[in-house]
Amino acid sequence: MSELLRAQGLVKDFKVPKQVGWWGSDSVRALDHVDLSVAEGETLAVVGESGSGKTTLGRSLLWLDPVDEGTVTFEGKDLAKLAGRDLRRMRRDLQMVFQDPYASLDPRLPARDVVTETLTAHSKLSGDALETAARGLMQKVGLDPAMLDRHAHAFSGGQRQRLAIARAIATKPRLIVADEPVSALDLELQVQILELLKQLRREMNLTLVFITHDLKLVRGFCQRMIVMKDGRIVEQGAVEQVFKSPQHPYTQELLAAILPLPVMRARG
Amino acid sequence: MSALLQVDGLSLGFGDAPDVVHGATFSLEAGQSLGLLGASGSGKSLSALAVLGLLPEACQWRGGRVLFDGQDLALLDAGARRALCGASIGLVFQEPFTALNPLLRVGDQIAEGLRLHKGLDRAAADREAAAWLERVGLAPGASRARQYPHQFSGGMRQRALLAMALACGPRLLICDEPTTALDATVQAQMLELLRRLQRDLGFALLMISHDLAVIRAVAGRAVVMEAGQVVEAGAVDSILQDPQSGAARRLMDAYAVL
Repeated sequence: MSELLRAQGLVKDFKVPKQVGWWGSDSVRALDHVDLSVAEGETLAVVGESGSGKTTLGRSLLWLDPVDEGTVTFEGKDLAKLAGRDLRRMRRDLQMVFQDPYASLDPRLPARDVVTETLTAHSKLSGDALETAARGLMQKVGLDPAMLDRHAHAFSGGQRQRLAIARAIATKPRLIVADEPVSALDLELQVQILELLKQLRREMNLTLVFITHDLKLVRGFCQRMIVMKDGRIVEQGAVEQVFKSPQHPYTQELLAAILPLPVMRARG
Repeated sequence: MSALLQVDGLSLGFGDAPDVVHGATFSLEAGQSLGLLGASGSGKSLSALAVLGLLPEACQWRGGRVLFDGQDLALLDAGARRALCGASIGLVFQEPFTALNPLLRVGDQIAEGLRLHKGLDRAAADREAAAWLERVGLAPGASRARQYPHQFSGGMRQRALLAMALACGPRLLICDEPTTALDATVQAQMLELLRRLQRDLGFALLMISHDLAVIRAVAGRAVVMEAGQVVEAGAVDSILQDPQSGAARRLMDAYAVL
């Protein structure tokens, strides 16, 4: 598999206000010299808890937020050196599904506007062609095209994530960063959305970066994983290998925190 | 021997719409744990609110009874109910960020209940509040008590809510998705804390969740709700190994995929 995306030496600091009662600000290092390589066609898990830097990493990979140090190259092209039309074109290939289905969609927009948002920005489709594309996208994510007129606020959390996924795949991207795409959902819905992503990645040969704090979702969905703590990668490797034989104490702690549930596999 | 909590044929609804809880029946003995398993919209949270007398005004009580310690809760007036629930039933909600008053120090919020329900004076209530914060792992209690909710992380706020719920020594603790918003390690610590406190203090526990693994961590028995009805009841491990209801089977299928 060839390398699709590479991050080298990423550093990102955030200023946070000092404790209540003190003036000035402190600096929090969200990314501490992070190196990462994503191969074409793979699904990589980025695992970490709140404050680990995983969301910052996801956004940096897509060049959504500037980094203080380091480079990100996509298909060998340094994203820092792209500008204007080239950068916009690259954005067609690199898309994101955000964490909170209730915040990442404008609730007042009809579903049609949500799913065609990226097409409107990156293509010249309009009128009938755009409508056809919208209907196709709805079907692709398992939603009834008749719901295109409905406003986003009328959809359930699981349905909204389907809309967010439709929006992300509309430009036929090469790579999608999904930041906790199912965390806000009940377990059954989580599995349904992951099954949808599995189907889409097969059909569209997608490379996925799956950011999550929930380790139990990783095994059935990702081939490789990295574990982040305090802005650093503390462990990485094939999912099976890391689960069987975790090296870093923090990884061991995360694995131990998975609540046991002795379910019989391969049912029915 | 009558159960500590007995819910019999509870039916609730809104307006002209069909029942959102229909004929729900389950019971809980003193000192025991029971899981209430169901997806969003199954009626599990409304059933808990009915026990606490905290149903939204628009919600109609269409049938059934709730007995706590043999007392029919519907027969109590608002004041008696408040007194009963405040002192005997504790509640931990899902939303650690909204259940605490952001304008009051954490210690004051715990002390408030102690002064109201146990009649402690200000100094004694403050001491007891600080002690409770330490009991839930938030040490040093006296300085934590002086902090505001925004200075606590999500996991710390849930611990504070647990302290608030247990401070008056309730005989029944109801937890509604208490760990859903928390990271995995924080969730595991919270459930471990809950188990330890239940061992030490002996309260009965009603754990409401869509996640059977969370229920299994604190309870051996569970009832399954779907579309407002109780569709299955039994030992958690029986539901795991041999689910009878459609709802439980779908959930086990989902786990098997992971």
